[in-house]
Amino acid sequence: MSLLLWLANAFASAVVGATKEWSVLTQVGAPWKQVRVHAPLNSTFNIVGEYQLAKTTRHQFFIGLNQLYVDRKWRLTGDVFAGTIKQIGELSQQGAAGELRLRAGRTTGKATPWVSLGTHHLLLRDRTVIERESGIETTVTPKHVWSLTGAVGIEVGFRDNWGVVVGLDLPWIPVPAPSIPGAHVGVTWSAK
Amino acid sequence: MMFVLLMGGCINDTTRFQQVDIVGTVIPFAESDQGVLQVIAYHAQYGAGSLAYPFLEFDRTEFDSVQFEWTINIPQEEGEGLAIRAWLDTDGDGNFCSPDFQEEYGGTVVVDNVDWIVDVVIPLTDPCDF
Repeated sequence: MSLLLWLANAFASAVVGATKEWSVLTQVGAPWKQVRVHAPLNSTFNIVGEYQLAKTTRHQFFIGLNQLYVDRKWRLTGDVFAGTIKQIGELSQQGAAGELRLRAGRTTGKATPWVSLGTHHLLLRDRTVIERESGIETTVTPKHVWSLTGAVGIEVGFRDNWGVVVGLDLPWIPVPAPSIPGAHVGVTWSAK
Repeated sequence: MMFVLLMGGCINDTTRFQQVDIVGTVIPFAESDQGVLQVIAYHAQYGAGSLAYPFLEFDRTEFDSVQFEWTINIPQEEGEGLAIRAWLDTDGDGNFCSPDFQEEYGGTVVVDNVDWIVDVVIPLTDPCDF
């Protein structure tokens, strides 16, 4: 009973977005790890900074704008992100990236389910150098890589401004090949 | 935003080639041999140590004559050296030899010094090996 009283009504904060205070999400998992910070601009918009790491090889830095669309028993928000990806190792890649993301979560209850879906775009620039007797010719060819991001999970609130998140990561990187699903656990915190 | 723009200007991957003009003459096994001339370009050597092996193909084409000029782009980061192989498709089936036709001959030349223009003479003396 004391544990149940200790559990506050959970509300997806940095998980779903449109926070009213500074909020942070930190999560670890296999293979995805992430830190996300929400800074409210007004009642509708947040500035979001996000760093995502897959294993130790794929680093993604995003900054974006989060907008509140619906705020009832379920909250629906949307993000537009821009940033960069640097992937090292055998499948090295680096380039500018962007994502449009929708996030939804229940706003009441001890444990609130949430879901996230996104369309992710990576722009790569590949250089070809041909050395001829007459000189060197260099051309740069752009390449677009489209991926889908998705995750689903539950947040359980503790006290007034803490939460624990568990989730499944279900990306398609890149389309059309579905990636091996991942799982994560995390902690959310909001300033009072 | 400046950081994003800067990263957008970054190069993801660079592939380097050396362009070489091959001037080739093929000597058929028999003077009467006729057909489409198939020519294939290989790295002479690929890999290192216990994983080293010869002849990594990187380009191929065909000609209507036993004398040809062919401009190739040799990838610089895959293997070493250059070898040119040629064979006459005398039965016109697109395959070098087959179980029911073994009267085709090929030849391979390893180029010692890869310059901007490479002259090769390829005698077709290698028979089918079934």
